[in-house]
Amino acid sequence: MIEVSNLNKEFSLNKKQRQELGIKDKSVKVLHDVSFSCQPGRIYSLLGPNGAGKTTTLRIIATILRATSGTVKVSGIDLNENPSAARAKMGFLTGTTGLYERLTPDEMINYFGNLNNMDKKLIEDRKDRLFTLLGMHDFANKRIGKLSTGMRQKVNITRTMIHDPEVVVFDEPTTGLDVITAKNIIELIRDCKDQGKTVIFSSHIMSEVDLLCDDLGIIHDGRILFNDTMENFRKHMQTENLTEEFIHIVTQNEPV
Amino acid sequence: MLKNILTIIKKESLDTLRDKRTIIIMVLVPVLVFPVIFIATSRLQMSVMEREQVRSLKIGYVSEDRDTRLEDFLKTQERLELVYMDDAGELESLIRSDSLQYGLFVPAGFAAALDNMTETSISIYFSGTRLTGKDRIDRLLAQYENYIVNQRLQDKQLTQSFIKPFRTESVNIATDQEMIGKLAGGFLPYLFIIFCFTGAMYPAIDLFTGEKERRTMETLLTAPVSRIEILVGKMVVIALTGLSSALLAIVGLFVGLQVSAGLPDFIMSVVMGILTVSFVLYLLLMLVPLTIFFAGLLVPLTIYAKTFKEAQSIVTPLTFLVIIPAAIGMIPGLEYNAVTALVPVVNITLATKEIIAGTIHFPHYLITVVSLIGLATLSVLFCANWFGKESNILR
Repeated sequence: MIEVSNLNKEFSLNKKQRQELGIKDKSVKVLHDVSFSCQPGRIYSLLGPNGAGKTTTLRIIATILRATSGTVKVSGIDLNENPSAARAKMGFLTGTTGLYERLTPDEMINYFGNLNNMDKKLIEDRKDRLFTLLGMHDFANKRIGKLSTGMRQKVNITRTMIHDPEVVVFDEPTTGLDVITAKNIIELIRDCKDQGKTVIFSSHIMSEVDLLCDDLGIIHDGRILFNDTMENFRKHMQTENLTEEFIHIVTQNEPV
Repeated sequence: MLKNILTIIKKESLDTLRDKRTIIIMVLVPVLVFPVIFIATSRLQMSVMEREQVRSLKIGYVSEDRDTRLEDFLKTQERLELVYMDDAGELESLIRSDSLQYGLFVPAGFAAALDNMTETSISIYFSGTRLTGKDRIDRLLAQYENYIVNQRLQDKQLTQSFIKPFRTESVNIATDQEMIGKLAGGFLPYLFIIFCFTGAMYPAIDLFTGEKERRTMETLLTAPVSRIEILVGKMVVIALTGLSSALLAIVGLFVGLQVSAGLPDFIMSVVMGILTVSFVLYLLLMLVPLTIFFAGLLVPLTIYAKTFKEAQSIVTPLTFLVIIPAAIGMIPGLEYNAVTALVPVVNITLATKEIIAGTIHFPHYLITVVSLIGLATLSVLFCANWFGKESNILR
């Protein structure tokens, strides 16, 4: 489970950044009292246009960034109190996540298994299961630098799932991927839900959201504009389709 | 905590050792540079000397003196050809075009002046751009001068002691080891300081900026390890590569000295005698905190840089910050005392000179080691603070 309460985030700006953005203030607030929760066995989608605050929110959940104020709990663990313990319960994947090109998939998975304090036998068992599931045995000992995009994404999926996380965070996971690789990711998200994991994913593609999500959060300009089930979203739609409704909500709340 | 740090060290070491550029800079260059330089220079030197020994000198000879005694003396010399000319003005252009190696101009009345024991002169024309061969003509003219002086002494029935009333005998109280330590000993630390820094530089860029650029930093930050564990693991690998590079450079230097010809035996025996267990231990005790300090200098910059290129352009000028104090330590006369023992990098050069010479003052050495450990600790603390700031990591 993920519980986000009154999350605020400010980035301090240096002189060059202030000039580039045309801002006089020494900091810029990118999240304003963001609150929502994601339940186990359900997929929560954070939907918003570019620059809305999706990635910042997910990076705070993944403990890459620290919130200026507010709390996030992952499986009941407060990130401010014990971020390492929260990370052990979490898997994080983006469409642009990099890999260690000079290692083999086998070595990379062992590395992350060890960092997750798994014992050797458990790493071998999980790795074998995931490699079989994703058809990775043929390239398990080849350098990652020599693998195709699809193969790399499979390595990334295995890296995310090796420690069997309770919570999985996907930040625009299909960005830049071909149709087949994107399909693998969609299947992975569904599998996670079927296994009872808590899943949150961000996207700006309405069709992806429509296909997958149980709960929806629409974020724009760092503010949550909608936070409810997908069913209720559909029920209260004022326009013809999901995309139109999304645009309608966002434009109605355009900052002055 | 230790388990996580060891996991990171193991992975980063494997990753670093698989990087061809790191291997070239960390292993191949330090190991091969000295043997290659020594073998190439000694071969070149030998071939130049051999060529010089068989080379026949062509000397333009312009004489306004009718007496031929000097000319007769020169004609008896082997591998020397006199080219007779009338005008001294021609000598310059012929030497410049390499048709002649030297020119001799003998003025009118030269021999008569010698006979009358009055002062006279002779002109040697040569090009200062050619360094080889002039000693041969100098030696020949000195021989002729000696011959004349001896004749004069014989005529006056005098012995050599008439013109050289006493000899001086120098008694050098310094041992060969002290001499090499004080005069050339600064070269050794200069080398390992440079290799230590350059050896650590590339892995530092690769392990921090490279990780940011390849977008693997975020992945690592989502693993259940603390930032201090990540930092320490990476810094250990950076320090180890710098240390390995420095030690390999020293091994390369000693191998180079052994395979090169031309060094006097006593220098070789002293140089080989330097490489003792105590010397290596003394050196390591300074090198370990030094490499950590270097890692501490490099890491904040490589964390800050966004791209490999940016990191290289930020870090490369730092090399001068290291070279300059290392070179200052080589200045003859600069003493290793309680003050210089505190100056980073300079203290290593000075201490190593004293260690090689066998004259190290232990309290000063202790000051150096403690100050280096202090600097290394401060640099690690600074890095920990720097690495903890998200604005630096995710810049």
